[in-house]
Amino acid sequence: MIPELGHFSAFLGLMSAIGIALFGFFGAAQNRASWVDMSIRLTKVQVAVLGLSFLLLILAFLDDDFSVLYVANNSNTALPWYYKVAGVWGAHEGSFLLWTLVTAVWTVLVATRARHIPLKLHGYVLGTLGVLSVMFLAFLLFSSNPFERLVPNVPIQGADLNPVLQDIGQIIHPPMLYIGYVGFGVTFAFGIAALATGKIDSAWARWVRPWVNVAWLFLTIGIVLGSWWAYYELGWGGWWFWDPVENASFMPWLAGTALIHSLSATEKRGAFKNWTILLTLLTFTLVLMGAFLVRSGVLSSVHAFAVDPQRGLILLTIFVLVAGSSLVLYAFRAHTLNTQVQYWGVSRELLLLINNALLVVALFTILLGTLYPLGHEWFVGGDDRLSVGEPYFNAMFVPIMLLLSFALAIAPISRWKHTPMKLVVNALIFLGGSAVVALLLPWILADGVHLGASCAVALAIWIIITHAIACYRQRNALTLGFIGMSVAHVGFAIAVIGVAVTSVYTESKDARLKIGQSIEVSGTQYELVNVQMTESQNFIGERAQFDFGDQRSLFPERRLYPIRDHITYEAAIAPGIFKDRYITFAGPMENDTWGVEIQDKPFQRWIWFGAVVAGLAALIAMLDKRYRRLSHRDLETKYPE
Amino acid sequence: MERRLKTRLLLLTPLIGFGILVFFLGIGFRIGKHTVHPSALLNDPFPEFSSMTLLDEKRITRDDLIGTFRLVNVWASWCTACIEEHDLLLDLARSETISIIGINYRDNAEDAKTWLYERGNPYEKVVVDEQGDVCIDLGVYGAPETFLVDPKGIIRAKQVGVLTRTVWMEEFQPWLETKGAQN
Amino acid sequence: MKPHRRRRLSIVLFLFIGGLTTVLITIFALANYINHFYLPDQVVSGDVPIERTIRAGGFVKTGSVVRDSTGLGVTFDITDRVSSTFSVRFEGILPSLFREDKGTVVVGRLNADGVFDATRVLAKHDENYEPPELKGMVEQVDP
Repeated sequence: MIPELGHFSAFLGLMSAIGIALFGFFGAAQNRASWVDMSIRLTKVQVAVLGLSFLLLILAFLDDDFSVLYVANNSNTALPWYYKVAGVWGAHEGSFLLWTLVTAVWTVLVATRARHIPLKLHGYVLGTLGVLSVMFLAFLLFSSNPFERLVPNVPIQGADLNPVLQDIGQIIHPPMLYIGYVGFGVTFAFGIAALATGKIDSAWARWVRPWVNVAWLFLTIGIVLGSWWAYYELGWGGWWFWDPVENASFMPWLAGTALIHSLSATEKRGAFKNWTILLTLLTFTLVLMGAFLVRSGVLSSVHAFAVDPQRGLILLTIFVLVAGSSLVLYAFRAHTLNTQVQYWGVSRELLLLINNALLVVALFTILLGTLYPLGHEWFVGGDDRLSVGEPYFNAMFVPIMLLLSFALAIAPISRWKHTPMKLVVNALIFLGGSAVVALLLPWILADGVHLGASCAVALAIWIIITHAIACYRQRNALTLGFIGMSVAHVGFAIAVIGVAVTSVYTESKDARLKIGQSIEVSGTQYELVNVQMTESQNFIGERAQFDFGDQRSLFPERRLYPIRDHITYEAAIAPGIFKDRYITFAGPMENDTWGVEIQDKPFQRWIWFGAVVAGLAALIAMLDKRYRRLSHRDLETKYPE
Repeated sequence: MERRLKTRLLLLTPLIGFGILVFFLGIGFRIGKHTVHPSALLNDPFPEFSSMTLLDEKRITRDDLIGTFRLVNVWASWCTACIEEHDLLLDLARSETISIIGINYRDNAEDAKTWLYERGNPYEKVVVDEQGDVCIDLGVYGAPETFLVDPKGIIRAKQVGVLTRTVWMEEFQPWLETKGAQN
Repeated sequence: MKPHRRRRLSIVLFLFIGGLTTVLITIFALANYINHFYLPDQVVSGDVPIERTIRAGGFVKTGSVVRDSTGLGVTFDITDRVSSTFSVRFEGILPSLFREDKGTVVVGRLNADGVFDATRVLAKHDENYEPPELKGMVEQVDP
């Protein structure tokens, strides 16, 4: 009975979504407050029924109700309860139910927390979100129903959750990503509403900004978690692979980052209106494209979901409908948004323009690299197969990020309209100082100077210095907005240092050791103390003990799963602020030796730390007074009779 | 006027870019279609696999199934419904109607051996599928499930759930008879 | 020229030069950094550029995996199971799913002696994942 109830709840969700869309749009078009109110009420109904639906699926998992096909395919009685819960979003159907629930939560938040915005705008925003919900829910119910029953013969045992997903990183990674993705659906709705009302001003930008920041925060955290998981789980220390699925999450992130910056110019100066709107549409277009790529099997990837052509077709249709119609609307309506703003020299507007140009160029090079194999296959035919690997992405992405860093360092001292030359020159002097530091550091710390890495570190230090100075100068008039910006930029700089130093100064050695022998990597002796056989129900393995430094040890392991003839390397990692030690154990070789690879990865953690700092900075900026004050001003703007 | 036109054209560019993008995604989708993993349905080849046998612990692959009609039966010692169809399988094996291959699905090897010892073993060979990989490729929902594989390795009939005598007579047996007619 | 005209001109020029550079760099990068994929018969017949990063794939020939007496270096042969076989040299830990008689893809350069210096060896990531290029090949060579 429970699965039927869940299914029915999801169906009610679809009904309320239709209501939200109709009442929202027509309420806005007819300027009828009561209709928009109806839409707002329905968002609460929608979140309640979809929440119930999701809870019921969790219940089915906890109950080991294998009469439900999805549960039978993704769970097992032996699974611990938290993996059973996580199993709910372990595969396509359940993860899409979560996706629709996240959409409903965002919608109800917009409905209740944004009551201060004009009626027309509110109606159009809710209407757009309602339409998105309708599409997602229709897709869920008609092609990905997680409550489908397996009758008449109920299996007693389920097929178990994919072992790769039985991991804490994999449990929280998808929900974070979805919250981020769908959050950009909210900004998309604001973009559509602006086009529909034909009005975009500083107030509009101020209403959108908090939503963008939250969405961006979650997307950032989601991407960081994915990268961290790959690092510790895959066993060779890589943290970013430019895999199509990673790119699918990274492209909306770049567009979202551009949007945050463009919005600040739109809010403060009324500049780049058209462009800001386009970015709100583009970001969500990329989100939908990502969903299509990941769930349709167009690009094969390690992370891809189980493939089903029919679902791919529906997702492609949703993508074309949503993104296509929004861009048609843009093409015919965007000219009504007039921009007349004057600025010259090294103004903040110019820097934001450069920022946006670089981010969009980065985005397009990634898009091109991701889709190039498809185009090539079409033009040349299937015989000449190719792939676009890390070298291409690195060659394109690294220079763009260096240019971006340069512009970013001047950001805190820049002024709107026009920046006095004196300030720019001052900032450039600090660049000289940072460059000296960056060039000296490798001499002191390690071996040899690497031009690219030194440039990156110099720019990063420069960014930190200029932001610190700017914050100090403004110490009496600091707004949370300015602090947020500075912290985000410093986070970016920290991540840049991490990427540059790890990529260039990672030292990796592989060797065969006898028990008692040791190997020196980057100044530390690692001694193979002993190797113990390990055994479990389904694997046998060898666990090595490596001693290094003052009484510290690491225990990498190699496991053999005999039934599947499957070997896994359980790398051992000693994390540290300044370096990670990463040992992969390759098992027995001839003549009583053991194979091992030891990596010394300096500043590895800085990459994720910087990204998380930047993400939290978005939260700081969001708490700025100018966004809060607005939400207290309430009903009189809403019903302006 | 001219300037407005230019602005309008400029605003159209995202849509054009989007059109190109959709074109390539569509192509990719069409190409992607024939490379996707087919879920093993009727009249498709039995999927490739490589595993160990339960009793004599030898390697067994798809090639070992080719050459004659086989009844491939997914079972496990924890599966109570499997007991229901066990008598039928034993009958088929005893009368040498067809060679039966078992796939021991997500089971403990010791439990499985005990189960066969206590209830009788209708299987010529039993494929160990402790992690369920073979069954994932087969598109198995759960135990029991039974497939009829022809001498060329094509799946000809399939039963999800308990194999009953009626189903055997109506959907599986006729295939064996066509073979007899051909010979 | 009026100031706002000059401004517009400089912006247009800036965008044009910027756009052109981006396009040129992208074309250059695509031309240089895209890895073409080759099958064993192409590697053997000499259709493959030498000393350029490429990808090649096939099945690891049974009995061909030979480890060095010191270090983690290893050589093995890749075959299409029909007629063509080439040898590969690799330093490091082979991926966990690397097996004799299983499909693999190597990334690296073919040297003048016809030996493939691999910088990375990719094996199937899990049982359900196969390098897309190899999937086509299996269809081609398996009758």
